[in-house]
Amino acid sequence: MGKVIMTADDSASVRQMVSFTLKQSGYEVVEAVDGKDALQKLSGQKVDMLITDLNMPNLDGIGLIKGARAIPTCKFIPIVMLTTESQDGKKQEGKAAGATGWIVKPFKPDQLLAVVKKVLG
Amino acid sequence: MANTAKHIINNEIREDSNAYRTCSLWVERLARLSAELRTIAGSTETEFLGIGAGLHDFYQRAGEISRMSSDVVSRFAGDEVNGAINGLKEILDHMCDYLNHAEHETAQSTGTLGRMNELLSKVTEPLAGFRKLNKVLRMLGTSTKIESARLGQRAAGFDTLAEDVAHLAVQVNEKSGTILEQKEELSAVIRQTLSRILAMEDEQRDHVRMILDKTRQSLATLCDINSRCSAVAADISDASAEVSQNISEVVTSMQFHDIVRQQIEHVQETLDELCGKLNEMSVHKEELKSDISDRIGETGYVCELQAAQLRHACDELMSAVESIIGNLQGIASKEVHMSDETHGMAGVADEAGSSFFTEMESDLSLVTSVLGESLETNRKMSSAMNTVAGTVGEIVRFVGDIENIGEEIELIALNAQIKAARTGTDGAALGVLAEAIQRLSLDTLLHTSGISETLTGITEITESLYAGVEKEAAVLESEVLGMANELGDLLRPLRKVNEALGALLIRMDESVRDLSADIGRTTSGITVHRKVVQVLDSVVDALNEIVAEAHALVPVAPGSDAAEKLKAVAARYTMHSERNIHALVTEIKSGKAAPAATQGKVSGPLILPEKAADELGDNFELF
Repeated sequence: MGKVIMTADDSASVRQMVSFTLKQSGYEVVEAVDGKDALQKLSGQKVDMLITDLNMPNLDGIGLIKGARAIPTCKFIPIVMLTTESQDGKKQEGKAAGATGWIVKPFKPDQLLAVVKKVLG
Repeated sequence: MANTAKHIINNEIREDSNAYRTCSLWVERLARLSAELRTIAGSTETEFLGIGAGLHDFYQRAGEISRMSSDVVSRFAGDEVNGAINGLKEILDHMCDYLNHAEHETAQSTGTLGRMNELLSKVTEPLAGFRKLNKVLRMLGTSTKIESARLGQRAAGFDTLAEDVAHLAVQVNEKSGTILEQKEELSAVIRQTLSRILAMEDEQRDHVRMILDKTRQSLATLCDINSRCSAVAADISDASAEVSQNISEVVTSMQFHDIVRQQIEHVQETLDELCGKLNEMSVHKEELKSDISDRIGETGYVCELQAAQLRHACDELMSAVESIIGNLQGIASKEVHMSDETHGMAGVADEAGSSFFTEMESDLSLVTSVLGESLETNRKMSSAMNTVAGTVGEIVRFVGDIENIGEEIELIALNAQIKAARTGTDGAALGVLAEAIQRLSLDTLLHTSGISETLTGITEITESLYAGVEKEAAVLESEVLGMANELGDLLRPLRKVNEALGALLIRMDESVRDLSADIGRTTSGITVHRKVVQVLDSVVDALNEIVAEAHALVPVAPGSDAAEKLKAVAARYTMHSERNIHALVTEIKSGKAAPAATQGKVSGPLILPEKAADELGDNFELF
């Protein structure tokens, strides 16, 4: 069975592209429409990695990372931000919250897969 | 100087009621533009999701076509076809050897038959001798009868001798006649039957040779295809990689829906904020009187910035959609190219559309069938040789009979000589007749031994030819059966490959046709960008009108503190492209850059300022 990766993004088309890219390489993908939805799903199921947007309604990416790190099963999983945000300040904020890496949109499928492979080991 | 001009304008504007009315109208216009942007920002999601769902489907189908194409190539380059090629080469060589050998045998047989005919013609002369012998015997018999009658009782017993001689003459005549008939029959067999069979064999061999030549050409084509397989496989692999690249480009371009949406939302939020500030100006007219020219200037400035942001968003969306359409069409054309390459390689793209393997199988089946016929011809040859041997045997028997007659004649002659001697001087004539009869017996022996000698030669040749044909027939039968079985073994995998290829190519054709049609429908149905661009263009025009109005009211540039004042606007940006445009417009306003700069590509490739690009791309950073 492939590793499970969650994609949290309020844009359905971005979730669709992330999901499409990962599924082609044999990963299982769980989709969440915002930070709150992602946290609820993370509490109910084990995922191996989280890819999240920064700006989302209800709960943003930073809030989601903090919440996820508080869940024992998510304490050490790789969390990569996938966002249009490219400011260093925001990146530092994400890093401080517990993000593993940062990808600025748009991503290329090969690049996303390389990042996933790198952080999943 | 600039500060003095600004002070004068401020004083003029403060007293201008039109300026306040314009601000209030801007609030209405900006609110309307904001609403339009809010509506258009979210309107593209459904269509992009549709394209995304299509992309997933196209990816699967393109992958399936690539797999089918690779399958066709690997079947061509596979062990089965390679084994069949080598086997066919061997069997073709074997068949050629067989044909050469058979040709040699036929030439030998033709020569032998020619010699047999020559020998048979030699029999004619001794047979003519028998006819002469018959005449002389009859004449001697008659003379003996006459002489016996003349002598009367003294030549008692010569009557019987004369009758015996006459009887033997009849027998010689009959036997030699039969031998002549048999000889003619034998000549006919050799001339007609055997020659016809040999000619037939020649014809069959020519037919087989022609088919074998054709098969050899087909085999050369198959070898050529086989050797081209690796090149075609590389082409297919390249085409697949290009399709993957197309898919990758589409995936990247699809994200511009979200990027452009955010850019539009940022503009919309900025316009809302500007609306709020202008509204505040109308409501608290007296309190904010001193800020009026700054607010008008800021409005023009902000609108100019937002127009630039929207133009950029518009360009990005257009470029992304064009990339999506171009890459989807690229997938379709590469799949068509892949299918054409595969068809060309499989050799079924000819006018008749008939399969290469089907033709080869049919040709080789024909070879087996003709070789079977050749075997049958060989059997006929063997049977004809048997007939020849039988006829020669009969002739030999008749020649033996004539030999016996010769011996009988000699006994009669001896008996006649004894009786003539007893008769005394009166029997002298009978003695002469008896001597003549004895000489005839010697002639008979001479003729029969001549015929026997010839017949022995014919028999030897016939037996040798018959034995050769029999042996050849047995060997050929096993060879032809062996080749037929071997061909069957070779053709079975080829047939299997052919059937599998036929089915695969039909499926591939259908898949490519359907995929191309679906991609065509999808790309021609992508209209979302036109609607968005239309709205953004109209918003940009409206913003530029406000910019012009603001400049008319406050013609002085905002100055070097403009960037400071617009920090709140800049804080809203998340993207480098937005910040780049902001910086560029600000530089132009402050006189640090040429105005033309905003008309060109503002964004360009985004380079993260501090983090060096690594193998994972310049937009990724690992903490």
